[in-house]
Amino acid sequence: MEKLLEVKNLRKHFEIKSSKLMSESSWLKAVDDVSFDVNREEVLGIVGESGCGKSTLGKTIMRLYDKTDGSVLFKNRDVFELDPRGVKEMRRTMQMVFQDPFSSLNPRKRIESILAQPLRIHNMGGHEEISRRVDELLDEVGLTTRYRRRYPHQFSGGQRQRIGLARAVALNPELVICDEAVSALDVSIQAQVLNLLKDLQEKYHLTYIFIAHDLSVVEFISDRILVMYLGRIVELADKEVIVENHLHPYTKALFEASPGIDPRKDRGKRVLLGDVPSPINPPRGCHFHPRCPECMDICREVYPPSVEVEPGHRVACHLYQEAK
Amino acid sequence: MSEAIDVNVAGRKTNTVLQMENLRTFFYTQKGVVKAVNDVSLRIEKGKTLALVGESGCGKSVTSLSIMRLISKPGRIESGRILFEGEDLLAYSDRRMRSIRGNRISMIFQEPMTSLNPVFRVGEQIVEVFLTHEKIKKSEAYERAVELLKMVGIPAPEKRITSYPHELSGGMRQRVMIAMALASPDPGLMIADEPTTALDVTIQAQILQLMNELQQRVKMSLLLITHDMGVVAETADHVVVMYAGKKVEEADINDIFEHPQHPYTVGLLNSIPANEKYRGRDRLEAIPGVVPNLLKLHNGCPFENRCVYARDICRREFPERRVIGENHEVYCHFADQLDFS
Amino acid sequence: MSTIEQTADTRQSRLENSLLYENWLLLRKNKSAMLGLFIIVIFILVAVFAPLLATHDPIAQNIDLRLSRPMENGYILGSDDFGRDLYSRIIYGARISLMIGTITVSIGLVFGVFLGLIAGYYGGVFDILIMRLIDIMLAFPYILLALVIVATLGPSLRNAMIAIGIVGIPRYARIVRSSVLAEKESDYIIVERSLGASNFELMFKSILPNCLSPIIVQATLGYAGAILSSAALSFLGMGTQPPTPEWGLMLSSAKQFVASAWWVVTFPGVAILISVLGFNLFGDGLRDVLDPRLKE
Repeated sequence: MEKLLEVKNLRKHFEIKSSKLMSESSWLKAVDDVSFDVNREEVLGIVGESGCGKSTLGKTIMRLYDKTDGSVLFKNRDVFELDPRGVKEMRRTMQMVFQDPFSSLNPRKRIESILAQPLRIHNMGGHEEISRRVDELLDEVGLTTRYRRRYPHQFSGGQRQRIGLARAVALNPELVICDEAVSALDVSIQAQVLNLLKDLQEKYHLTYIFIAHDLSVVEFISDRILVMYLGRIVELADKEVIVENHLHPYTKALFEASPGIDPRKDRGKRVLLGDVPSPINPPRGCHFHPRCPECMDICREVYPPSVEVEPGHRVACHLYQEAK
Repeated sequence: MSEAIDVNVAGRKTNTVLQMENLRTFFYTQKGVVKAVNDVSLRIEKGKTLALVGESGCGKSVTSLSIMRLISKPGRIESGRILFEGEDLLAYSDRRMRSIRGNRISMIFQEPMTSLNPVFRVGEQIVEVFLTHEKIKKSEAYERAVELLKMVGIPAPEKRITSYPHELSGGMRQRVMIAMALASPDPGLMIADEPTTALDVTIQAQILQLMNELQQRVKMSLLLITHDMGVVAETADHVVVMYAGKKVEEADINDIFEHPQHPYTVGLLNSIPANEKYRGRDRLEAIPGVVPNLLKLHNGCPFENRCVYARDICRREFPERRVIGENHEVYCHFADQLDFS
Repeated sequence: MSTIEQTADTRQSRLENSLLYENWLLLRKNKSAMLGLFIIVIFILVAVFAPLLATHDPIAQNIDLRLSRPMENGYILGSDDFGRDLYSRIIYGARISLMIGTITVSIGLVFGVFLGLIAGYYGGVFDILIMRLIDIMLAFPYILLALVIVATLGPSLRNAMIAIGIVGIPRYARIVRSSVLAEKESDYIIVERSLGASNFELMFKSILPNCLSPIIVQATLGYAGAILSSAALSFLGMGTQPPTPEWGLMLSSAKQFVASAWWVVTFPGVAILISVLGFNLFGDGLRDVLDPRLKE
């Protein structure tokens, strides 16, 4: 399988300027030494709780943030080394869908204008042709073309998300990053949009990076799953492997905490203690150690290296330091 | 305190803490009338958890606000009775209602960030609840506040009591909210409106566990409002499903998941990716269409436009109640003809 | 695939499409705003149709009939100390005031919006420079700064308008800058940038339309402020020069007659009062309607 994206040792740190005079600023290490690949036409799910850095990771890959260190190779070219023309070309092939259907569409533009914009910017034809394509796109995502002159606030959340999706695929991109794309939707609408995502993937041969905090959704849609905690990858494997045989204590906790829908099974689960920590001053050693039920001495001192315990399955935990 | 004994659906006698009968709460907006809660009845038993479940716009939040009589213009409680321990809350004076709120019936909300006053310390806010409803000394109130914080699992409560809300995490704030809700000598009913929706999933698990524990300990009755069937599975004893202002199905916890009978309930369960049936599949059985415009509802079943089983009668008439099992009722014209097993 | 209900796109729904229409419906309910609008409309009509409404030439003097009382000698509101018809002067004064308002607001708006956009969008050194400039301007008392500018350019109506316009720039710049800062981080801007939109397109076609609300409110209130400022400048002799029938100037020249010929002072004052009130009421109403929408 061809690699569409290669992320190598990517870091994105934000400086928090101290409000006190003469004090040093602290660093928010939103993404801290993250490496992974994405294969063509697969769905890579990235899951984690707030502060884990998954959103920042998505935006940094899209070059919406400047990197602090590392590289992002998209089709073998580092996105941070591209010249302005290269960046524009890259923008055509890598797109993003956001969480909030209310804020990701310009409230002052009609949706026909919103959808025409990317086509216009990238010179995909004249006025007539673009207009036709807008109709096609609306149709594609299941919306009536009759309403193309309406404003975003006149649509429901699910419909707005469809418009966002239509916009994302307008340029026939190769990679689409979905950042909590269904999290703000009602369950029944979420199901529709998940189906639509799959349909579009098949039709356009898309590759997805699907970022979400809801494990069951990520589990459903992904081929491979990547688990993040405080800016780092703690586990990465094929979906079936992660579901059947997750190793990292945090992954275990996530699975335990995710509510299933079997009342007979789901009561009296073991609950993870402690709060989700802030990425500004992460704990020393393994970031997860304060909450880890299996914490050992070494965990408090040394951050565990990532080890490939079996082909395609990586874990960063002192419990699993030997490759099979 | 009187104990209201009432007869439930299947005819057994139970202890009822809250009995809502035919509640109608409407909103009179510029563009028309929104029947946010349209003839909904429910019953909460003492010491049990009733989950009121549905998606946005179904009226579940308005229901809870109606119970607390916190509905303001342009909304109005049109008709119905809300019997709390046998007495109709809708007949109470404002003053009497205020003595009930926070005292016998308390509420916790989704956004702990905005439910707590940011300029007052956490301890002060809990103490205020005490002092509003009881004549005790401030020092005593503070001691009890520390006890409460301990009970809701906040570490080092003596220190935390002087914290400001912004110094606490989301999970901690929600615990404080729960503590405030329990800060009365005789908590009767707690209403929790999407209490964990804004929290991370591992924190959600902690809060749900806390609520379960507290319920055991304090024998608290809980009305849990949520859109998340997973949360329902973990906490509820009995479930009411709402859609566009109407109750469409009601059953005990196991029945609702194992033998759902309303097409919407079935559709809802089918929309959840965690559903067992989707192992190895990559498409969900989604409910087609969107929720109808609440301003333009017809008199029939509001789910009609999305229901694959709908017929003419569904558009004309709202279905009558049909009892289909122990504690299990459904509102569908074809309830006995559809087989969802 | 889901579809929206297949209702015909009637004229009614096309109207409803317009954001303006929704705002208008809300505004209509605010009685004081409607009163303000009424006043403004009258004001504009009077200004536009001045030649038709006036009974006399506003600058024609008639010393014999100076200081006539209202309704005396064919002067509806009386005459001033040069025998000029007060009524006609006030009518034409509306025209002057309308012009003053329009020009000063335009100057403030065009430059203010531009500076605010640059400062807010690009940030960094641009922001620092522009904001320092704005701060310096705001450090001066409003009138003092206007006076300085007029004194430099020479007292005249034209220069008064330029001065008031310039003094108004900081307000627009600040408003636009904070709107831009807020909108800049919106998801939809990030998306448009990720689609390859240029900075120019983002600034002017995407962000600016979303900042219009406070600008419109400020512009409306700006008319009121302009009329008052111009009156103040004229009062100080630094604005309009006689015989131009500007309300402030009329007030100023009539100071001495407060006790003896009250009408010469009162009517121009009332004209200022009513027109300023009208713009303020309408502007406030606009703000109420548009502001909460901003949070949507």
